[in-house]
Amino acid sequence: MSLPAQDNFNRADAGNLGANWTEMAPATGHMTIASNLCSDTVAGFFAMAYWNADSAPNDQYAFVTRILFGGGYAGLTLRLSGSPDSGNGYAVLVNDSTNQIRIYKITAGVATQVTNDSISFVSGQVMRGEVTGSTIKAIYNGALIQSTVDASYGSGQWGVASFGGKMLDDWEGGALVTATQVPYQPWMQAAPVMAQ
Amino acid sequence: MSVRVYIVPVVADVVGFTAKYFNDLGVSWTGQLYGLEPVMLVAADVTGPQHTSIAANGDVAAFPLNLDAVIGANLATVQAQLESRDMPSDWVDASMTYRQLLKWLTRLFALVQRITGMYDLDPFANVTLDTVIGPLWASRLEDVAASFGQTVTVPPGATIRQVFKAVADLVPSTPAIRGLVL
Repeated sequence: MSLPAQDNFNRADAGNLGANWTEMAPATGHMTIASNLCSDTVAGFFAMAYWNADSAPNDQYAFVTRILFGGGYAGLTLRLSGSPDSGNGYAVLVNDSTNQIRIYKITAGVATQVTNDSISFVSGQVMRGEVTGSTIKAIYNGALIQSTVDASYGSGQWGVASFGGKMLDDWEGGALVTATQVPYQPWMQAAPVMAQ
Repeated sequence: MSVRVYIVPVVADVVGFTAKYFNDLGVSWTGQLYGLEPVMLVAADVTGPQHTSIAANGDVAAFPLNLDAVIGANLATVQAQLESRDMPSDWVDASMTYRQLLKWLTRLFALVQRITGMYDLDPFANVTLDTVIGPLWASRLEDVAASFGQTVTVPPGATIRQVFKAVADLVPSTPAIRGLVL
């Protein structure tokens, strides 16, 4: 397939998202198809899946439409890799009940919240996540809401995630293209070998 | 409302883990994890009373609002706060500003994040900052430095404190956290 990767989830109800997706938290929850939407199965537990039909670039974006359901966190993942139930990566999640948007770092399958901001949630608006180098951004309805820095995970696949958040639709994952990439600061070029 | 910087514990919450205190107060915040250590560097939008509430806790290290103030007479306290969280502090002196310290801490955090990302290991497990680095970890740290584009040779007999300081010096710092330019 070619980028961007896309899924509108318009297909028959099923207990998983299909062959193009890899479940990453099967011990706690499953991302499923219900009424032409991406849905998790069990409130109070994490469910994650990444798109496996294309190789995601290191600098990547994903976006998804969050559907009002009445609470819980749901959104997208970035640079997700590793084995099911012990994967690593990042997630951008929105809670339609508390009107919060958060970035999570996922290590060995465990999520740690690293940002918190308030938004005015509207069902059907797009949440977007981007990761470039070590910078992770959360964008809601076209506005940059928050960003943080983490140097842990440099590669992985995009996907979807939910914590009792239920309903997502119209997912896309693609490549971020930067006009100019400057890998290191000028002062670094003259940095000496480690001092004793 | 001001952006204030803290080092706080990481605690369990309903989804997984989070920085202690901030969600309970309903504030907006941005954090960076210290690898697998239960410690987070947080910049938060807080009111004066919220700051007072957070900073009053014994497990919180709070930076002053004026990051350009020199550490001065607080040197011993600052060093103790860092050392208790496995962060080398012997290089810090009284003439440094808190902004200089914070900028270096973002380098250290990036280094430790990369270590745990590459090896799924906590470099502070069962050691102290003064533990001498063995050949296996020397090789790992050289590879971590290489991942940042740096060529580093860990000399025999070097301690964690020495090597982490030296390598962190070569790691890019975070330009800004929550609008605070470093």
